[in-house]
Amino acid sequence: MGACFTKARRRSPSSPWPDLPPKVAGLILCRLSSYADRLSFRAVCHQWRIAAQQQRPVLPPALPWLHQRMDTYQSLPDGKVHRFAVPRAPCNSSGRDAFDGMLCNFGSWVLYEHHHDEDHTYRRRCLLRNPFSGATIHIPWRSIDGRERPLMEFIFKLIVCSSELVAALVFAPSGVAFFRPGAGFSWSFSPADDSYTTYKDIAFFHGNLYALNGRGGLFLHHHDSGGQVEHVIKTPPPATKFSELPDDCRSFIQHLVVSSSSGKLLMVRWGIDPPNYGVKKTAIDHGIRLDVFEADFEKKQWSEVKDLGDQVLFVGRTGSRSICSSHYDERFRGNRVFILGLEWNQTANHAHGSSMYNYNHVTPSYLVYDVKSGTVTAVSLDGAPPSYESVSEWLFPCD
Amino acid sequence: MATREAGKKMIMLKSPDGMEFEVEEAVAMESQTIRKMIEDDCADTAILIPNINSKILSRVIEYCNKHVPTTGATGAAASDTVAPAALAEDLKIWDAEFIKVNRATRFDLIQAASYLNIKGLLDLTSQTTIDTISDNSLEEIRSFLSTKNDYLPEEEQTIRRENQWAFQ
Repeated sequence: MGACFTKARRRSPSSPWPDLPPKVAGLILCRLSSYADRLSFRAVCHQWRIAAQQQRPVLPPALPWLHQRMDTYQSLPDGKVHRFAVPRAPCNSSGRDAFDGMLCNFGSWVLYEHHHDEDHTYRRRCLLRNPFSGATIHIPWRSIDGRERPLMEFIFKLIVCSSELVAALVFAPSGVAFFRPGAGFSWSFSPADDSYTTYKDIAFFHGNLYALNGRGGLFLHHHDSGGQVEHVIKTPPPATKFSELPDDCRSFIQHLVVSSSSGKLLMVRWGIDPPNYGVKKTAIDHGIRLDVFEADFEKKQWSEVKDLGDQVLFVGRTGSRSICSSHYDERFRGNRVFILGLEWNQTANHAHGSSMYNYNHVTPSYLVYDVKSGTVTAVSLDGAPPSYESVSEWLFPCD
Repeated sequence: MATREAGKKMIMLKSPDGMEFEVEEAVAMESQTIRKMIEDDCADTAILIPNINSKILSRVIEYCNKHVPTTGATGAAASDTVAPAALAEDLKIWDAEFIKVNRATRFDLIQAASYLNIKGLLDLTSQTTIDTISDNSLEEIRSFLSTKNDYLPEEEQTIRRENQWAFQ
C-alpha cells in the first residue's frame, strides 16, 4: 500500500508509532476536533500522512474558527490563535502586490479586496480564497447593475457551490446572483419573485440554490435556466412558543443549514424576548428563543425538529454549518446550536432598544443553545472582549 | 444476550510466548474479539492471542478485571451499593494511573486494544496520544513518540509551506 513511499526512507527501528493500526489512526483523527491538530497528525511521518489521507472521506469536519478581530482567528476547541498572510494580488503592473485585507468570511472562504491605480485608472479586484486548500476564485467587482461599487454594499452572503458556481445573496434589490468562473466575468442576477420579499439567507442544497424570506417562504432559484424562481414552501413554519409573541415585538434571525445527519435542509429561527414579556431575561437563557425546522419538500411545509441527534449547528449571517460531533469533547457534543456573540448582542439590542440594556459589556464570543433543555451557555474565549469594531463570523476549516 | 452464568465460567488465554492466563469468562468478554470467539464456540479449551506478549496481555487482563463490573448494559444492579458517579470517578483515577507507562508499552497497549477490540482501553490509550498531539509542537510530538522525521527535506518544506499558519 504505502510501500512506494517508505522504500527509500530511513525508518527508525526504535519507534513502532508509524505503524499505528489504521483503525486506531481513524479513531484518533476522528477525535481531533481542531483542524491544526489534524495537520500536525498528518505531518508527523509518512505513514501517518497516508493514514490521514485514507481516513479523510469519513472524517467529520473539524470544529470552526471564530473570527473576532481583524487578522486573527481562534480555534473553538482549544482557543489557539491563527493568522493568515494576505495573499498577493495578481497581474499588477503598478508595483503594489498585496490585497488590502480581508473583508469577510463566507463558509470556508475569505474575501479580499484590492484597489490599485493602473495607468491612472482606479481598479478594484475581489478575491475569494480558501486558506486551507489555497484555492482562489476571482469574482466580479462590478455590481449586478454593472456599476463599480464595493461588493459588501450589495452582497450579504456568498456561497462557493463548486469551482464552477458562486452564488450571492443580494439585497436592494433582493435576489440571488450567480457567477460562473470561466464563463464571463459578471454576475447574473435572479431577482426575488416579489419585490416586497427580502431574503434572509441562502443555501446550496442537493445541487440547488434556495433562498429564505422573513416569513419562512422558501424559494428555489434555478441557476441554469435564466434565473427562474420557484416558490417551494409558501406556508410559514408551525406555531411555537416563540411565534406566540406579538409580531411587532419580535426581533429574530433566520438561517438555513444543511443537516449533516439527516441530509435535510434545516431552518434555525431564533430571537430575543422583548422586555417585560413573560419571564424576564435570565442568565439561564439569555432571553433566547430558538426553533429548528426541516423542509418537507413533498408536503411543501416546514416541520419542527425537536432533537438534532448527534449534530451541532453553527449559525451565522455569513455561513452556517452542521457538524456531527459525537466523537468530540462534551462541550461540543450534539443537539446544540452555536450562536455568534455579536449577532446575539445586536439582536438583543434591537429587541430591547439599546438604551435599555447595555449588552456591549457582556457580549460573549459565542452562545450555546441546548435544544433539549432550552438553556444557554455563554462562552468568552481568551483575549479582549469584542468591541464596536469587532466582527463575529465563523470560518469552517475545510480543504 | 448475557444469559450465561458469566461469573463462574473460566477461560484460558495463551500468549505467543507460552504463558497461560485463567480469567473469568465475563472478564475475557470485555474483548469483543474474544466474545465473538466464545459465542461462535471457537473457544473450547484455550484461546491463543497472537501478537500480544505475556507482559502486555497481563496488563490488558488487569484492565478488563477492573472494568468488568461497571460495563455491560444490564450490570447496573450489581453496583447498587456504590453511587455510579463515585464509581466512575474511582475508575477515572485508576485509568490515569494505569496509563502511566512508557511510550513503547503504550503503543503495545493500543495495538492490543485494537486487536482485541476493547473499547474502553482503546479510548484510554488513544486519548493520551490525542493529548500529545494537541498539546505539543510538531517537533515535540515527533520526539515524544520517538518517531524520526522521515520526510525528505524538500517534502518537509512543502508541508510547512502548505500550511504556514499551522506551524508558526
